[in-house]
Amino acid sequence: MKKLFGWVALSLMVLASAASAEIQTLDRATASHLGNPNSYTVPTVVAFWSLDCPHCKHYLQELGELNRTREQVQVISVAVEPLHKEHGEVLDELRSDGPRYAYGDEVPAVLGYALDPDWRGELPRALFFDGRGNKLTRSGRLSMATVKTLLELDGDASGIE
Amino acid sequence: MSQFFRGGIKLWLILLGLTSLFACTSHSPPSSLAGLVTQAEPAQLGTGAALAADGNLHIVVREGEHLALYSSPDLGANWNAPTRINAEPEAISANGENRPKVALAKDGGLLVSWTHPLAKRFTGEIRLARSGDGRTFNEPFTVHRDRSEITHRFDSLLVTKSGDVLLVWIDKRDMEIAHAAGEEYRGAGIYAAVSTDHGRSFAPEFKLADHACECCRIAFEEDVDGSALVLWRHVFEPNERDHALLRLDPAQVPGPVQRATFDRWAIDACPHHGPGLAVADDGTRHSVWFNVREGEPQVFYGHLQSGEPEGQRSVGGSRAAHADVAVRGDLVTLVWNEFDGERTHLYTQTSSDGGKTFESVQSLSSTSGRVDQPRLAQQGDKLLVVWHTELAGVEVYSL
Repeated sequence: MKKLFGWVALSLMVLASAASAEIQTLDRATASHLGNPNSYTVPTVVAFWSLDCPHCKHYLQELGELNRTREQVQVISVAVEPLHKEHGEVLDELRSDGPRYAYGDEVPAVLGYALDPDWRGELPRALFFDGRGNKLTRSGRLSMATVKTLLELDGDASGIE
Repeated sequence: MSQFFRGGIKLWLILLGLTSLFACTSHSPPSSLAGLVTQAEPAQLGTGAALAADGNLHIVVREGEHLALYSSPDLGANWNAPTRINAEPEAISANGENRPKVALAKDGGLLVSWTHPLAKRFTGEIRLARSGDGRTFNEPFTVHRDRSEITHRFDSLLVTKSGDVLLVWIDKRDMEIAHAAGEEYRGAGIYAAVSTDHGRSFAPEFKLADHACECCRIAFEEDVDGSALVLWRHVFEPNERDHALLRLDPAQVPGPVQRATFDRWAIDACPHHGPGLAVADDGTRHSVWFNVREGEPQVFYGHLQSGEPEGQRSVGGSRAAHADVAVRGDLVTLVWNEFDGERTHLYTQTSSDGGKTFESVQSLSSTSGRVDQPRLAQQGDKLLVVWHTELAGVEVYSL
């Protein structure tokens, strides 16, 4: 119980710190936290992206739209490359308004593994949390219908493996 | 008189110790001869390597806005002082999939190619510099005639036995034309340019294929008949990111695009994971590639042929990545990176029956820092793997 309380407290702390448009640099502990289903109490997408990934930008734009139309959905963006001045500009342009992260100084392979040990570097990649302790991972740009299914927003779990 | 560097003395001493330790075992892993410390930035470790007929090992790394050539007369034990390749500074790509390349021209010249990113994102030019003596380089030039600010990136360089110098690259001019007309265009094009004067000049470029994947390295090898073989990740309709093979005959006439792998990874994503290719004397096309097949991401090895690859098998563990392949007669050598959550390992595996069966995996090195992809450099029966790491510099292993 204490452990659960600790996770919730840490979740609120981490999410609150990233709630502004500021981009937080990611360290290993925060990366592990972002990849942990116990960190979330609302449906959440953690979307990996990079400046050189056109598919990611379309995806973030669509996820941002989903976030605006379905308020209970949280979209967290993680730039899987060292923080760059263009990250904020691009996210603003795409209207990706959720918490924002970018890689810090640690070895990228370490951060990637902490976020998602099954990820092999392809982009886009996203983690889907239903907010009740379940997690799914998917690569590529998915339709918003599929995203909603993965988040169990429509009570349909047919897309879940 | 050339100046010599002793790189990574500490590592050198450790490896000497390891060498003597392993000397008494029958399956001792090869030991690195040096850890050359370069001025490459940790995020830009992409390294080109070539082994010359005279035994010199040449590597090219990015140091700021310059490329530096390091040469070793003794397979990595000692290194000459670096030579600056581009006198004028410019932006240079030097990451894993888009590293600078180095090759030996048949007239004894040394050739270096690279991608020069332009101001607009995803754009670039393919550049080439030539040295007649390996010490001073002529002013670099842009290889293609098209100077639009678009994608010309991910170059690969090949010198054929006849002496022709060929460059291939990812090129988005046809995508730009299609988009301007309001039409869809899947992926990017592949273009080529050929030099018949040992890299001093190139004829106008020409298209090899449409619909390549946009961000993976291209494998480029000579076939037994003097043709060039180009292997790349393709976007087959509607979005299957398998591999395609094309033969460019000695008269530079491109053949058809042939599907080379059939893993059917349907995804709208950038895998950042290009293939490797080596052609045996009997014409067998040994290849390594990464794909997600039936939901499982894996590095694969197989013989490319018409239809599905022969003898396709997975390589390494579930996190194997960025493999390379070389062949000497029936001896097939694979190398790859594998991250275990804490460290990235450099592994090798060999087959002495042309790839039918493989011996057990050997670990060559590991590091907790950033790494480049492993690069094989071959000259006849001599084979080296060059591994540029953030913490130990450039490690060289004789395989």
